[in-house]
Parts: sequence; C-alpha cells; structure tokens
Amino acid sequence: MTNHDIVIRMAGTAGEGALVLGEMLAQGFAKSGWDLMLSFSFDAEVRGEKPSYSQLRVSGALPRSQGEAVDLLLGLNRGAVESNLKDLASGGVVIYDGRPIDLFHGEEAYFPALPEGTRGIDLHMELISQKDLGFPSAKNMVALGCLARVLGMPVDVFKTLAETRFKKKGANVIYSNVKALDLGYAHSIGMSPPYAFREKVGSKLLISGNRASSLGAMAGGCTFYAGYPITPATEVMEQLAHDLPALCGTVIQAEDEISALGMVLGASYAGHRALTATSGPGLSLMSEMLGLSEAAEVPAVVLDVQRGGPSTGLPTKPEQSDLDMALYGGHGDTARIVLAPTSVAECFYATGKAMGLAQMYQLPVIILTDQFLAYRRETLDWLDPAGARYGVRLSPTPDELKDYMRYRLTDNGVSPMSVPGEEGGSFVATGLEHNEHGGPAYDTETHRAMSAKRHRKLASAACEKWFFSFGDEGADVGVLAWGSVAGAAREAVDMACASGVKAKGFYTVYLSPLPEAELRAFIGSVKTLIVPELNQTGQFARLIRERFLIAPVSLAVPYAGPFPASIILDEIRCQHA
Amino acid sequence: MPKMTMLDYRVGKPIWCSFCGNYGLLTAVYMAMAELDVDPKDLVLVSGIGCSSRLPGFVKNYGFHSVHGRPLPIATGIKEANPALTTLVISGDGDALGIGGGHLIHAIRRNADITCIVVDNGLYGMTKGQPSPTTPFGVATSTTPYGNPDEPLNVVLLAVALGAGFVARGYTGNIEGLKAILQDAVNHKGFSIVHAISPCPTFNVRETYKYYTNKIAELPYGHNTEDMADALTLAVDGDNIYTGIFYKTEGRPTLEDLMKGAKRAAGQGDITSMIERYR
Repeated sequence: MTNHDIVIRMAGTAGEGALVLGEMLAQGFAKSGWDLMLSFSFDAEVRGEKPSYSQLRVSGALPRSQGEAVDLLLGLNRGAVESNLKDLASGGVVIYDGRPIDLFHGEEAYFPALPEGTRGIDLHMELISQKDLGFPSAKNMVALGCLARVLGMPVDVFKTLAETRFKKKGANVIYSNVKALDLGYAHSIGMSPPYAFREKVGSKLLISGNRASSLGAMAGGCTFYAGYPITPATEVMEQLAHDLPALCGTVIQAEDEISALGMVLGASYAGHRALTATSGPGLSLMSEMLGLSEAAEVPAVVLDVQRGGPSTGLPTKPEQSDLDMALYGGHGDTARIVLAPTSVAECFYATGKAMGLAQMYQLPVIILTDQFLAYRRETLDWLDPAGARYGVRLSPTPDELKDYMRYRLTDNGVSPMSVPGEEGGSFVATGLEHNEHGGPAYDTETHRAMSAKRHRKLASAACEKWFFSFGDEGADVGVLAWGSVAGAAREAVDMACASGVKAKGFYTVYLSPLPEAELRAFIGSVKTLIVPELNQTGQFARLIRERFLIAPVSLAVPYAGPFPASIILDEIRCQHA
Repeated sequence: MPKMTMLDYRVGKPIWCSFCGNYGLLTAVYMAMAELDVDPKDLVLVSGIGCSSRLPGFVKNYGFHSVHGRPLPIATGIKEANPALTTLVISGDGDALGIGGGHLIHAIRRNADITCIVVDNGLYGMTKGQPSPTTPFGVATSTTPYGNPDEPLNVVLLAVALGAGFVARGYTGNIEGLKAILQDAVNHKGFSIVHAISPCPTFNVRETYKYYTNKIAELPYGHNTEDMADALTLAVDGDNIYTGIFYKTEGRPTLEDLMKGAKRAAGQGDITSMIERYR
C-alpha cells in the first residue's frame, strides 16, 4: 500500500499519553515535510478512566477535515481498542497490546475481534515499558516507535523530538524514552511496513488554532491582553503571557471575564490594541462590557473559542452555538463585527485583522472559533506577519481639537478619537446616550442620530470582505458553511463532484457584516441551499433565512466533536435525488 | 507650566440635589488636583453608575463614565496601558461594595497605582432610596418595608483587613480635610482607598449632616498609621466615625512595577521568530 491520505487514531485513557503520542507523531510528519491535520478528543477531567484519542490525518495536501474512517488504529489499552474498532476502515491496521499486565487477573492474552479485511499487530507495550525498561510511562513511546516502523518513517526523527521534549526532565527520562522508541521500532522490524512516508524537502510549521490566533493578535499589533482562564481558550492567554511582554505588551489575569473585558476597554481607551479570549460562559458575562464598547465607541477584540453549551455544557467539545450571542448578545441594539475563521491559517490572519478592524470602526470585534479549530494542529509553509497587520484608529486633527467633539456625527459614523494625555482632547467616554461632545442627552433627536451613527459604522464595514467559493459553478445544490464546518463542507463538495454529483459551496469569514451582494448571488444561483452547522437550532440558517428571505435546508446537528463531512455529502446526494 | 488652580478643572454644571455631599467631594477633588499640580490632560477619572459617578463630567480632564460596579477593572486597564496617567476611581457605596464588590477585593490585591474614592451616602440615591451595602440593619425602605435584613459593610475595616496600602476616611462636610486625604492618597505609590462620607439630603433621613456632626471625629492624635491592629480597632469604634488616614504602608511593588519586571524578564522578542518556533 502506498496510500498517502491516511487517518491514524491513537487512543487511550486520560493520562496515558495518547495526546502526547499524537503530537509527537505529527511533529515527526511536519519535520519530514508532510501536510497533516491533528485533532484531539478528550473529556474535561485531567485524570480518571476517561477515553481520549488523538487523530492524525496525513496527505499530499493539507487535509480540510479530521477524516472519518480510521486506517491505522493504535490502542494503548484494551478498552481503547474495543471502543474505536467501529471506526476502522476496511483494510485498516490495528496495533494493540496482546499481553497487557493485569495485576488482578495475571497475564492474559488478548485478541481483539478484528473485522474482516483488517489486520492486527500485537505490540507488548506494557511488558516492554515495565519489564524491559522499568519505566511504565514510556508506554506511548514504545507505541510511537512501532508507528514509525509501520509508517515507514525513520525512528531518528522521533528520538530527536523526544530529546527536546523531555529536556527539562533530565537525562534519565530522555534515555528511557529514546530507548522505548528503539524497542518499539525493533519490535516490528521484521515486517514490511504497510506505508512509506519518506522524508520530503523542507519542514513545515505545525500549529494549533489557538496558537495561531495568539500569534495573529501580536502580528496585528496587540499590546494588551486581559483574560480569565477558561477551556478551551486558556492556551491563548498562556501564549500571550509568555510572549507579549517580549513585544513590550502587558498581560493581566483578571478576577472574572467582566473585569477582563473591562481592563481591555480601559487599555483601549488609553490607546492600545487590546484583546481578551474566552469561551461561551465568559462571553455571557462579557455582554455588559460589549454594550459599553458599542455605546462609548471604545475598540475591543474578543476571541470566543466556542464549546458545547448551554451553561457549563461540554468544556472540551466544539459547538457553533454562540453565534446568536456574538451577533446580538446584550441589551439594546447591537452593532459589532463578527469574524469566523475556518482554518488554522485563517485564525492567524483573522485575529490580526480584528485588532485593526476594532480600531478602524471603534466597536467590538468578536472572533468565533471553536474547540476543534482551536486545538487542532495544521501544517503550514509560513505565516506572514505583515498580512495580519491592518487598519489604524482615526485621530483628531489639531483643528478638530479646538472644539473637540468625540462623538461627532460623520458620514461613515466614525469620529476621531483622542487619547488621554493628548492636549485639548479631553472628553468623558460614556455608556449613557450622549451628544457629539459626549455629554448625556436623552432626547429623541440625539438618540436617533447616535443610534444611526453607531450602525452606520457597521454599514461602512461592509466594504471589508473575506469569502471563498468552491465546487462546480454550474451546480444546483449549494452548501453555505461557517467556521470549522467550512472545511468539512469543502471536502464534502469535492467528494460529491468527484463522484459525479454536482455541488458547490461558499463560506464567509465575516458573519457581521455579511457580504450581502456576493451571498445573494450565490444563493440565487442554486435551487437548494444546505446550511450545515454544529448546533441544535440552526442559528446561521436562521440568520440567512431572515436576511435573504429564503428557506435553506438547515443541517444543524450538535456532535460532541467535529462535524463529519460524510453527513454533508449524504445531504448533497439526498437533495439531488 | 503655570501652577494649576481649581478653576482649571471646572467644567459643566453638576446635576446633584441642593446640599448633596458630592459638591463637597467635587470641590475637594478640584483643590487636591490643583495642589498636586496635575495637568488635566494627564488626569483620568473613571466612574461607575450612580449619583456620585457623574462626577467625571464636571472635571475638565479625561473621563470614563462606565457601567455599574465596573470602574476598577477599566481604571486598571488605563493605568497599565499608560502608567503616566493619574488615575482616580469614583465609585458609590452600591457601585464599589455591592455590584462591584468582587472587583474591589481584587483591586486591593493587585495594587495598581490607582486612588479609589468610595463615595458613601448610605443608600441607592439614583433609584430613590433603597438600601445599599452600607445601610444600617433594620432600616425600612421602599424595597425593605419590613426592615433591612442585611448588616452594613465597613469598607475601612475591609480594606485594612485585605492589606490595602493606603486606607483613609474623609467627610464631604469637611472639604479641607478631605482634600488633604485625597492628596496623600494620590501621592501614595500603589492602590489607595478613600472612604468619602457624602450625605444624601434628599433620601437619607437617618445619616444627615447633623448626625455626622455629632459622630465624626478625627483619628486620635498620634495614631500610628503603620499599626494594622490599631487601624482595625479604630475602624470598628462604636462611638466615633473616625476620619483621617487609618493605615498606610509603602514598599509593596505596584502592578506597574511588576509588569515592567515581566517585560525585562521576557527580553526583546520578534514575531517572526515566535512563529518559527513552531517549525
């Protein structure tokens, strides 16, 4: 077999090292120049008998989705094998431990009931790591060594990675892990490897959505971050806490999300490009400050890494159910920009751009990602910092400072904004309705003028566009997706077209304001519009229905995981029939 | 720059009732800023919501009239973004101790170089007299017709107990005294908190000017402001409501110092090499 689009799943229970295993295998591929997507499935508990796995999809080009049928399954324990067998592809390979050490039942041989057409490799991970090495926690490295052999990759790549990863833990730990890799590799030396992933020229960046968002923020000029730890957004704060001070920026951990966005507004008012990142429960708390950002016209950027809701919900699982809150959450009429990147690279550029958009339009910009997009790793050739730098804040001219009007009514709604310390620019930023000078005013005329001004800014922002269309232009069936589901939609459309079923697709990174003309054209060009999304009520389909007065097919399905491309493909086929 | 006078800070026309304590506070703020010679362009007043929180609108400077209970986080963001700004927070008793109580305790821990004035009229004035966190137990109001079931909160006691570096109480009926306290508070390096008693002549029929005239007393002569136990004892005195500096201690690093330290520790970085780490 020389198939170069394969799905590898490494499964275990929490704490057994399945995630580290996936990460290191992915690093090995990236260093060897292969394109891949690595995703994770785990529960909210750090330990305990909870199933977790990492799934790696490698192919000639960057995969658009996590992949479904598993070609190569590695189970770190019996249960991990059993619970994942159902996803095994025909012709798949299973690496399992046929001699697990069981303290209560003695040593029992184990043979998984393999489906027809699949085959197993018995690797004594526990015996090797515990008896031969005396280092039980290196079980996953034994497995990694074996995987290297099966995939036809040199084991040295992983030895180097182990040396780097375990550097801080000392020579003993490095030695045991490197030895474990060798033993795992040697175990399968006799067989002819089913795969041959030879080293290619040039190594790739391997980066997660959260890390890309953090780097994008910094490239976009972020100099202030305040946040409160929350899964699955914490990684953003961790990265910025480490890196932002090196770029002369400030990071503060607030006492809650209300305070976090409050600090962001304060820093922004004082002239900085400021960011906070959170997830659904935090965004709920922030709705008050979002309103203040809109009323007082103080720029702010909020990255919402969505997870399953409502309430505490599913902290480690993705969902697209914060769209309504991002668009409308809070009291009063809301006017905000909402961006939804669809890939790791887009996380970088969207976050950078958001830092600038907030400055240009002096309103909150919300970026919606989700746990799947935020945690998954993708390979990239490079990320261009200059491409993430965008926009500037409009400052008052010396003339305007003679009788400074902070909230002056302008054609596009944007008024010059002074910064504390600036002579002649003093004003009171306020959440009260106000006149052009910023003084409280409650009359109809002022309220109408100021409401219109705030929404005029959003209308002006409609000139910002970022969308992508794909598939067969002549198709009658269209798929309109957003966020992390767009990748699955693209894959489904490609598969449909490849199988002779005409389909096309469209996604827009801007969810507010929407690219009205382009969307209208796309919607008008198809007979059926499918809107797949990872939620129960079809929030995006509802938005499209309301905005364009059409009846899309809402394919709204909550999963405790990423949206499968096959569901979209089935729907495309179903709509054709 | 010529020496500032009170008039350099005056702007607008206050909207408070006649004899409102906030007039005294406003005058004390003007006087303290003039004495400290703070350039109005470098002065930021951040407030929440309530009668006293309208104060920034009557001072010629940069202001942020924010949302109920949240001036402290906003002021923290401003101060950390630009430590050169003199940053004051005006927050009522409901604002600072009720809805914003969660922020106050952390602002004390965080020790940003901000002066927080807790303006206490003993009730919610803007909504016409409901009990606030400083309303005495048992008082009948429109929302507690059978008596306030909650004990009042002693902000001086709270602040000293939490380790605030500067804790004082002033009275808007004694503008000179309040001005002197505000000056010391602003000069203090780190978080300072001033409990400013500000009678509400419209809704507060209990704690009137007359009531305070009998209760308020200056802290005993020779009170050691570095003695925390003494400060706590004086804060809970049953007979007198003391004014003056209860507790003052220097030496704790401010948040700005620590942020500067983080920048030094992190060294000089660049975004391209940060990206390349992932290769």
